[in-house]
Amino acid sequence: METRMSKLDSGLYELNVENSSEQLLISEGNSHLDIVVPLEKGDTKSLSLDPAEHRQMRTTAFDLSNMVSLKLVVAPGTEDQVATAISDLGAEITSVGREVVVAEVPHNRLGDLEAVDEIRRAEEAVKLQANLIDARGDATLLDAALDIRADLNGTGVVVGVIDTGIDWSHPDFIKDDKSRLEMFIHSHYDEASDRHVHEEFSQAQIDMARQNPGDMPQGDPNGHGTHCASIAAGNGAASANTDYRGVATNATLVGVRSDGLFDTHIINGIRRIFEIAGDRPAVINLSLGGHWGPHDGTSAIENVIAQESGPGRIIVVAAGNEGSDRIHFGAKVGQGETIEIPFTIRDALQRLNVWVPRGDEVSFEIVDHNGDVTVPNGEVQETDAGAFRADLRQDPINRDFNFILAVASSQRGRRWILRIHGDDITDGSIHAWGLTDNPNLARNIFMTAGTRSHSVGMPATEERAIAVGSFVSRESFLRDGAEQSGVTAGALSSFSSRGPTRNGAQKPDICAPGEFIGAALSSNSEMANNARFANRRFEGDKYVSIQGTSMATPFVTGMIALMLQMEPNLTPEEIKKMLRVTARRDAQTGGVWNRNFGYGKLDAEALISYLERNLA
Amino acid sequence: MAKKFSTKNARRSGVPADLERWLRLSEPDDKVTLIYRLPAFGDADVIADALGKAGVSQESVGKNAIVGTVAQKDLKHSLEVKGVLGVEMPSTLSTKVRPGMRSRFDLNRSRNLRSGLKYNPKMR
Repeated sequence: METRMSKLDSGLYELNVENSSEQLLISEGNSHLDIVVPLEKGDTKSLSLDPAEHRQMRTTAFDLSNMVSLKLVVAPGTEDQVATAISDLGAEITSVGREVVVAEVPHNRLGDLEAVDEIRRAEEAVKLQANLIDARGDATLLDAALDIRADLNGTGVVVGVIDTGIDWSHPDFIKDDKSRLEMFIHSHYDEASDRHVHEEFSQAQIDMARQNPGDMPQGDPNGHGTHCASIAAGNGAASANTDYRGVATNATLVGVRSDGLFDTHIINGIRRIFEIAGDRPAVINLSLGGHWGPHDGTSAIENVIAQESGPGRIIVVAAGNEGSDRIHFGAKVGQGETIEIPFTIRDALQRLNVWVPRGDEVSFEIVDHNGDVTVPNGEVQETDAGAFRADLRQDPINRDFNFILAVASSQRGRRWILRIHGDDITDGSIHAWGLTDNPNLARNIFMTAGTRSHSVGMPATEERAIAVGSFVSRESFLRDGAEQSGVTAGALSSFSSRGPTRNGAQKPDICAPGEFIGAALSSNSEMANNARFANRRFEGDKYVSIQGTSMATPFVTGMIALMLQMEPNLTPEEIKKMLRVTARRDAQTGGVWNRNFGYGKLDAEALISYLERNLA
Repeated sequence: MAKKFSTKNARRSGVPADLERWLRLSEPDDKVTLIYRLPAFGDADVIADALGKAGVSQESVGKNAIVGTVAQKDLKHSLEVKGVLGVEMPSTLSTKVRPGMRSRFDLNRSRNLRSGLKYNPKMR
């Protein structure tokens, strides 16, 4: 049964149901349509909403026997009263909070909500809009943005993804039987030549390899890069109704598969992608990072980002997932004072990356878990608790002092102490990052002494990079999955790395949905074969839900591709300004800029509106 | 009393300690990939040319950094090329995907229960 929809002067939509005298009033939300109660009385019919009329309303049919998830906005102080009243209608109360009752209401009792005077509005958030899994709805207002400019799809823009690769055989990267990858680059160590090589494969080679897969290296043996690429630019071809499409669905892709994620591969990849783009605008996604280096934008890879960025040349970087990992310690040491940095041995080789401002004279001691104190000498030194080596030198670029400590101890979980004496102090700001070779073990190195701040990783610490944090856009890995997280939609992801940088730069710049995002799954990859992901895969194992600032970053990358389609010469500074002024602020973000959300949440609708106004 | 390990005595050096150790332990034909740091306003092409003559096989050349592979026997010479500020050894980065941790979910779930919110497994 089809419906006709027309917009009224009041801003409401009128929905006429064929073969029925009924009318439903629907208000225009930011990106979706909310049912407004009271509904017209009478027998509720099943509806089939024409997606051509309104893209958020693609989902079909109310089933009378189903329960409908509703958010009921109620008069202050009447929450319990409403909960009781609708329970009597057969509703199941999900949660009761200030002025909002969330409930599952039987579809055939929706009309009865009218009788509950205290209900001001009912919102149906899931069934009338595209999948929240993609965070296209409330979270980013992307669909609303595309309603403003339906032609925006990244056409003419190059989206580069430097990562674990891109599954070039995935349908989401194919259009009209041709690969959407203009180039695939495989950066890896080549034993025969004893050097790193960067093999390039053209679109034609990729298309031939789709028939003879042995002709090319696997696109993405890990799965991470494919997921990121599809959020930024996948066309959703492998999903019903292209539900799992990304942001810039018609952008040209260049994929770099880096085996080992060496920063040298990243540097080469950045330069090569911009070279391939030529006169076309390009945006590069880096959903990766680390905690080596000075965290002040002066490392080589950060400098490359600064130098290569410019008009139509944008680089977007994940802020990092270390927001709750206590991998950073920060303190001020005063003249004649001593500070102690307790750290826990988490891995067989535990490292600290410590920075001291230029001009400060400090000295170091190591206290092992037995309490034995040793003055480092730059060589390997042994104690009864293990061996360590300390290096200290002045960085020639920023002239700060870098102290690196490596401890080899088999006794994990034991606490050592780095002791720093302030001998002659001008500034005294000490920053330390704890590292292990296994990133999964680099947690709680500083235990209670650690801070959430300064956990934005390198190279997101570079000022010209767009650094992206993560917030929660949905509350479970799968729409109907059992893995319920209990996290709160709209809240900052607990893992999202916090700023600022060591030199005080305001990072992250913005947050985007990163928890939990459904996007393309690389075939025959670690993610495809790992049992841990078994209940997060869907659509015939073509998609998977995962989380991280890695997933938030390509949302912004895709949005920037749309912006570059509108104005190809936007600079990183202009884009940052637009992100800043249009970012959504709410009760969860608090005042911005702040170290958690940056300038707030990505708001695609506001962003495109802003560009429309300012480019006109 | 042991000598202080202090910033006062720290050497200003663009050569990482790991590279110095590699230099001591490696054979003349062993190779290492390095990022050569260049001045912001230097002429990268001129420096790249000089590095090439010094035996550095270059993977990529940019305004402020050159990625190249050099044999141990040529390393010292390459570091003396005019305009090279220092070198960085390649480091590995990690992807920023966060493993799901059921324990954290369970904790949050119980926190919700404690806060009086009813938990509903169908909640989306």
